[in-house]
Amino acid sequence: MARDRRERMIENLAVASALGFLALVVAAISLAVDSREVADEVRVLVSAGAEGNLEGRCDDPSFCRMYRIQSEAGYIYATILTLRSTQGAFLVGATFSSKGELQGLRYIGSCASRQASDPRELVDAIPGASDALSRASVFIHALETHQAGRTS
Amino acid sequence: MSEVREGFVPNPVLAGLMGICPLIAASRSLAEGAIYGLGTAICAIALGAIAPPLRATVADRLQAPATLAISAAVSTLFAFCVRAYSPAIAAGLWIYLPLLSVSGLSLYALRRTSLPGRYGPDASLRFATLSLESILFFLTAAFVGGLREFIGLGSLTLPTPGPSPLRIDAIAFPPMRLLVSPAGGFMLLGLLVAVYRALARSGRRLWR
Repeated sequence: MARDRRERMIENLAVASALGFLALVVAAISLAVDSREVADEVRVLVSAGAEGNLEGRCDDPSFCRMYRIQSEAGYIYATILTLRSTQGAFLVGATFSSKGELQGLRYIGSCASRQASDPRELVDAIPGASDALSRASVFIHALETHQAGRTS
Repeated sequence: MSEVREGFVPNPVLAGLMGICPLIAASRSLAEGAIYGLGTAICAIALGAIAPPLRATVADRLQAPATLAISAAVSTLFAFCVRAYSPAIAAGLWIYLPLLSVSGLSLYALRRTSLPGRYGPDASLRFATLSLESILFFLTAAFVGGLREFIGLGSLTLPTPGPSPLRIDAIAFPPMRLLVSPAGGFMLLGLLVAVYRALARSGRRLWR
């Protein structure tokens, strides 16, 4: 009986460690993919003469990374929003002031849609897009508050 | 799917109605259909290849969690590849990329490899049939996606890399936008199933 139990435990440990190793491999690949995505998004969002850094991550369904773009004129925040409708998914670049006010929208890409590629029209047409912008604004407020707390 | 024994591999979507709900929800365009079909085929083939050695080495009570974990890992890795290849297609496929791990074809692959009595004792023949079915699923998904997009929106989106896939606008206006919605997708699929069954029946009559 005790031997049976020990054998079962060894089997369980062997399978658990094999699956743990698999999880580690997947996690390592996810880190590589994430760093590549950050580099790609910075390249899309940042214009010439400016520098972009990843400032914060978020679990929001519409955006997951917020960048701080530093230029000679000061700094702004930027993110890539994923807007979904029944017609398809759209990627829209949004820039915000340091106070969280929306400064600009830029159409980046979409899959399967004949909907207008004007980002303002998209935000008006897609339900929940304005809410996503508001949440991004709130996230910037949180980042700024955190930043102020760190410097003071 | 008893026709497999007669040497004819039926289409898993149009004859077996396998995994049609996520297929219709995910494949609104040629690009989405092709990538979703490719992911489903890769997951099913990977599971079909991994399941027999796993069955030989892992105890019965641990096979289900181990198989599901491997299936989840394969679908997650495929999702990473799609995200790196085209963020717009990955955004369009959304939750259906990780859900590939429990797609109808993946679960069928597990059942097929675990029931030699039902699907024949020859493991290599079972795997070959599964691979053929997976390829048929991929082709059908791409065809359904392309047809829905072409008739629905008058365009074809190609699965090209980069932030925005290449789109060819064949018609200046969307002729039948309903087909891009899930309801329209099911209508089109119903018609395709009817055509496929009629062709298969007449083909079988000719064969005899």
